[in-house]
Amino acid sequence: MIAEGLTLPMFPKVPGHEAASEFVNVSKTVPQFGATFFGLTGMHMLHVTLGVIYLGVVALRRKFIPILLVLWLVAWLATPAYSPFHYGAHVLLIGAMVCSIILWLKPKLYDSSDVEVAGLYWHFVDLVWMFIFPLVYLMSAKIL
Amino acid sequence: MDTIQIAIAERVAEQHRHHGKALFFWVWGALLLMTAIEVYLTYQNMQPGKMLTILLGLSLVKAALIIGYFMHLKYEVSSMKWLTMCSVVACLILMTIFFFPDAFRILYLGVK
Repeated sequence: MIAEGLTLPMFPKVPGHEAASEFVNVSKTVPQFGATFFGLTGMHMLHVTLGVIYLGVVALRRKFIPILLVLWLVAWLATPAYSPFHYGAHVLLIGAMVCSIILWLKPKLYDSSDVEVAGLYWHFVDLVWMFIFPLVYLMSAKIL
Repeated sequence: MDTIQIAIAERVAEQHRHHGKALFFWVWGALLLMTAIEVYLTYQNMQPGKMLTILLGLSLVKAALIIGYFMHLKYEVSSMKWLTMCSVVACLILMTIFFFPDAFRILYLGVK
């Protein structure tokens, strides 16, 4: 049935498939908006955070680590404990640790190729947002 | 790097040197303007199908500006342009095939 389910997006109307009826029901029984919304925007935020760390390291190298640590402390202490951002802030701490390890294992002066590649990464994440924003935010806006 | 690669890299860099930062700020301004138009259109009580068409049209223009200027594809050699764009189109076709049955549910998201 799992195998059937995997092929369903391509052949949704094949008669006699056990998974076909489940596929019809799932859109009515499982609340998919929240999962899709926070899946897309959350993954995007993670990638933006990684991009900020990447660009920061290429631009500032070791000087970026204390900046990251300050950002982590501010984000952690300034958000209430029930907020997902309270724990999400630890991504910045992990980022600072990863930066330290990278700069310790392979210290180097970044050249124009590094800047180019960091820019390509950043603008690819940007490019994805060009489609997530209208499809997820604007199309679901309820006009009162 | 062999000689041909160095020559290509130099040609790309040479084309790149001919303009300053101003152009990139104009592109950024255009992107902001198009985003503002998108947000404005959202609140105009349009048919979802029509709105989706306009929003995706604007998004495609924005994506082209980002790829062309910010990702420097405009300054690449033409074989690189063809290679990257054909791969993107192939990827989009695969995504469309895979998500096709669900693709139109978005039309009913804001209608409740």
